[in-house]
Amino acid sequence: MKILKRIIALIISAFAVLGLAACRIDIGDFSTSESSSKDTTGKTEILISVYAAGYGQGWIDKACEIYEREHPEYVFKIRANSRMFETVTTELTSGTCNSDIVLLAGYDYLNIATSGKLVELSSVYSSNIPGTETKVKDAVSKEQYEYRLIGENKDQIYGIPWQDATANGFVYNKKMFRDNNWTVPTTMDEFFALCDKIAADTNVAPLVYGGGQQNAYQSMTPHHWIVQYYGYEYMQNTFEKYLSPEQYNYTSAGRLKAYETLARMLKGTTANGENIALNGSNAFTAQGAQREFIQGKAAMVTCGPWFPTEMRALLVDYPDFEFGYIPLPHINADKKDVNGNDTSNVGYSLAANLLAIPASSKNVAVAKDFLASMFTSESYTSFVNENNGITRPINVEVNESVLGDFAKDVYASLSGSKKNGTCVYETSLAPISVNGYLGICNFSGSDAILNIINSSSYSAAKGIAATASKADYEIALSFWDNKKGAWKEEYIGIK
Amino acid sequence: MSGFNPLAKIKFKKYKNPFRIKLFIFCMLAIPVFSFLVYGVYANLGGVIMAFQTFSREQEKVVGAGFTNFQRFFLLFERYNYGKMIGVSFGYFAVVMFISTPISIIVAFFLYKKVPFGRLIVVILFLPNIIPMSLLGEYYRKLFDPSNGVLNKLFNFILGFDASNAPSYLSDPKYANSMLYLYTVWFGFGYNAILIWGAMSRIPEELVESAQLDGANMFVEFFKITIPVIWQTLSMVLVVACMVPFTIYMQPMIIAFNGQAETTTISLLAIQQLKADPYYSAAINIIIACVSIPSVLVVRKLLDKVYPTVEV
Repeated sequence: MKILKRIIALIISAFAVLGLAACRIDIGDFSTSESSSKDTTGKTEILISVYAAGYGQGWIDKACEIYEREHPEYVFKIRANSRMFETVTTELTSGTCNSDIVLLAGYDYLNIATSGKLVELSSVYSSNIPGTETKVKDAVSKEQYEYRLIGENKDQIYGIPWQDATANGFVYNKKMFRDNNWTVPTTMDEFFALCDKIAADTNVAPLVYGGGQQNAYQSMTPHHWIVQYYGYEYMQNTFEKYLSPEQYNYTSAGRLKAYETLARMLKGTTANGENIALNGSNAFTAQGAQREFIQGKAAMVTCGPWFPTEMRALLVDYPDFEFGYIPLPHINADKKDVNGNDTSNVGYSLAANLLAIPASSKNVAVAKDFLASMFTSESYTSFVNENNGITRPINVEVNESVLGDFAKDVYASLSGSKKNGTCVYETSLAPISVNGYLGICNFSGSDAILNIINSSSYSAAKGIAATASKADYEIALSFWDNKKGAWKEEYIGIK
Repeated sequence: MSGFNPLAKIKFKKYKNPFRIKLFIFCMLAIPVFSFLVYGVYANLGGVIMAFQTFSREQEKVVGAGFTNFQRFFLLFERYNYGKMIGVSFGYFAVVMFISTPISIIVAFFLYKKVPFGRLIVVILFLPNIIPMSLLGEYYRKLFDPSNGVLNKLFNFILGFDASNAPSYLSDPKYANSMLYLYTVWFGFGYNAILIWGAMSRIPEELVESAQLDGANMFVEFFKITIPVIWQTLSMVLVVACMVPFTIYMQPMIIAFNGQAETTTISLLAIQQLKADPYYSAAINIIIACVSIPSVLVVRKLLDKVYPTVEV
């Protein structure tokens, strides 16, 4: 019995001690930051509460710094962490918000704005951007502006769009590319040819992705490709009206190509029969995949512009590591849409989260002035630079000469659609879309990506891609009332 | 009526200032009563009312919705595979009831029988309950890292995979729920083990010695003495296990990145809907409560009948 007891004690201890190791790990992006070390004597304090995760909070620090320089009578205190969307919403709804400016999640906007918790911002939109003759409203994307208008006459607005949320590209190992004379691909055909070359030239995998987390950051990739395939005009002004399920049937060819291209990228093989993706890509977390990339096991990683900020701690150990950004390559070899128009400058983004002023703010005038100041070229340039090149849904001149190399690559890929006004925003006001039932790729999109990632082979992944393309149409059909020739009442909801 | 009345024996007149005594009692009662009214009555009532409301985008205000939110649950049941979510939730129940709890009882029994380093084991077993779940979840994920995760290698070896064809145990729908169940057992049995061990340590030694003198072996002692004596505690543990399918959400939310790979449970669904539509979320919670409250009450009644209460 004594021996049995000892064995049991050993087993229990072994299991429990493994749990102890949990104390060693870092906790990712659950960081909280409050900047409060400034001299506030005789100054008015302005409190800002913003979400900050992968991109960090440099963008708001810089914006405040610039404003403080022009207005030394004010000092900004910043509250930033990755749970701030929830915190802000709770504080606003419970009447305990003491911030002067908040970053509000887009999905909370309507509820909060219509309950009188925010300050109406028409005056900001109608004001001039400081130092220019351009009005703020003219700089903001028309789609994002109109999407947020509320009130009986749709003439009130309570938020200023913050940041674009676009499909991600790849971060690549610059030194490896330079040493092997590889060129950055601009189309997916070039991308696959490059993968063949990488496999032939080296022992490293062409690509690594974090398939174990959030669909390897590929949730918006098919959306972007479909937008490139059909062009800005059709997608923004016709498709997003969601008039009937037939639009999914009409776009079935582009849809199939988008899903199939994704299947090839994630599960395909190179010309010499090797996997494009590094073994284990289906299971890495996002940061795990980025770690493998930095360690030189792959030439590229699927990632967004937050890479340098998110991997800052690990990059310290790799001081010679050089990296650059490859925007998502065009789905078509000729970079044209189905009608033959050039779509190399057609972008895609979700509806933005919003900067807003709580009704409880004691410094409304300053807060409004600050929001307008974020539209100056200097402030916007710092925003783009601090966010590694990512843009806002606004058209403001950026001083590209001060951008870092990585930020410059990212900005170059996004700025074209801003300047041309050809960024497709998922800002449909059609009830079937607003209620979350339909989108460019429907809900089967994310399931399809997960299934592709977890498929056992490339041929299985191609089968999933074909099914997903049909499923988008079938799902739309299931919401459609054939007799009435309209979307079914039960999905439109209470008017 | 022979119920115990704590105020019956207090003779207020014998105190110099009976008002102060009454004030003291009032103040002492005021806090829990206020807390009950705010967090029990008001919050729950608010939730019930919300279930019958919705936000009208056209009118831009909250309007009455009748049973629309409840109808929506059944309308979307098949479309979004709510049946699978319910199945996953009850999977946790099965795991806790038939794997985790028996392990807890056995571990508690051996602790009670004073295995070497018993006290240290108790402390270690309790640690997962004081370490934040976000840390434990992150740690658990690291165990499945394809490059250096111990559990990843172990499962690849057991299931016959190599690095080139190994599945993603935490994000492949075929495996993800099993791995979350494993986590539930691994990090969950310790708390109950300590609870049960606490109850066991109150068993009078004379009772056990007397049974041993009568020739009772360890199995007899376990089933005829230990279990009946700790039944009050054990039945509470079992009732809590019965609530698991209606309340579990942390594992899929933290380890499986908010329920990816078909790991969403029914209570996580209610949380996910909170962002998109809090009124629909309230309706889901009401539906859950309508099933869970009667079920748990019935289980409680049945468990009370298994063994009589033993005073030790």
